[in-house]
Amino acid sequence: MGDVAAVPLPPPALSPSTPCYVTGEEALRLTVFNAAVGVTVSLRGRFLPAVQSADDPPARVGPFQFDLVPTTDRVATVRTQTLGEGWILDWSVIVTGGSPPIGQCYAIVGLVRGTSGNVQELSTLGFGPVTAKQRLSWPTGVNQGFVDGAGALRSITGTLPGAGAEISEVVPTGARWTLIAFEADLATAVAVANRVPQLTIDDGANVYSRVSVNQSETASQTWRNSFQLGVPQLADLTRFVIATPLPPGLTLGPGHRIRTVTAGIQAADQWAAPQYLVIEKIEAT
Amino acid sequence: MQQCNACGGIYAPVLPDGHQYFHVCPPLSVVELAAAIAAGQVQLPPGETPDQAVTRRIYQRWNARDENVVASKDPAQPTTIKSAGAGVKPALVPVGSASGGVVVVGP
Repeated sequence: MGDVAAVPLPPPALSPSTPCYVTGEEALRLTVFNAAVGVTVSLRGRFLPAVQSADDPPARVGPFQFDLVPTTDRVATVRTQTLGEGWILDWSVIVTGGSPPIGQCYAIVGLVRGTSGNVQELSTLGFGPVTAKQRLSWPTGVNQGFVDGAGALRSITGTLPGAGAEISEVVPTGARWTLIAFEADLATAVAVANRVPQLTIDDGANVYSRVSVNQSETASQTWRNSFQLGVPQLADLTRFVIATPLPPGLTLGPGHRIRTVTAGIQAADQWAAPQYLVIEKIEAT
Repeated sequence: MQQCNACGGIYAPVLPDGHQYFHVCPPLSVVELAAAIAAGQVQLPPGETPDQAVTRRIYQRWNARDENVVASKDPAQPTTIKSAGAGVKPALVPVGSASGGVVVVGP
């Protein structure tokens, strides 16, 4: 037995039931995709170091925590941390700073070899959305894919375009939107013309959906154009509110656009106050 | 609030819900396309009007800004925006207002 290398093991009383043994060359890697500002994500857990020799003191379970401040552009932010040789007993990921809504901060925890340069991913331990209340945990816990779940309900104020220009709102990189409602004012100038707005959805180059307002909008008025799910096409000419139905379940990927295209628009006409409601999910690319 | 030098659009870089806003210039409107045609910058197919053209094609301004990010394959590398275009400047518009003791909320 003298020539056989002994595998370092903790005392039997501390022998863990977890399979996640790391040699010290592997590291935990936390990857976060986030859209909200002011967010800090923490990976916390417990680690049982291996006893290296008979002279070492008995192993004790110790806690670990490392924090990550992710970017707000839905692009991966990564932190890699070595723990030494031993057993990862458990961990959880939680938002410890900021308050992103569900679906706006997504974490992946994996085991990698190396900490910088050409890091090789060995296994994925868990993945899913996290908030200040909802944790991602291991070994208990449920994994959830990027576009699974309810997503975040967002009411977004768009760009106020210049006079005579159209509204154009673009799904950001790393996001997926389901459009629920879109409203904007068209203040028509004194120039006599019939303006007929259309809400156009395209993939960045090709139009795949359009809905037109069933009303000519005349000069010197402010028309509130409201595109919504579940409304009939109607015109309230007392209040200058024009409602137009949207197709249900309209899902837009990154780079897709929601645009107005207005027949008869005049140089001094002004689109204003674009506001829209979407369900947003992070869709990493 | 800031204003895009390419399209004149005014927007908040960070929205009230705490999310970053990524401005992208709109394609040309009918009015802008007609002006570009008059300036000799664009030529439409024979018989086509600007009203028809904007529903058939997308006419992008040459100096358009697109603040969406291009992700690097290496997470350690910083991201860059797709196109700075003509840049931005601070917008001289009030964010909300208060007059006569009435606080205005919303657009």
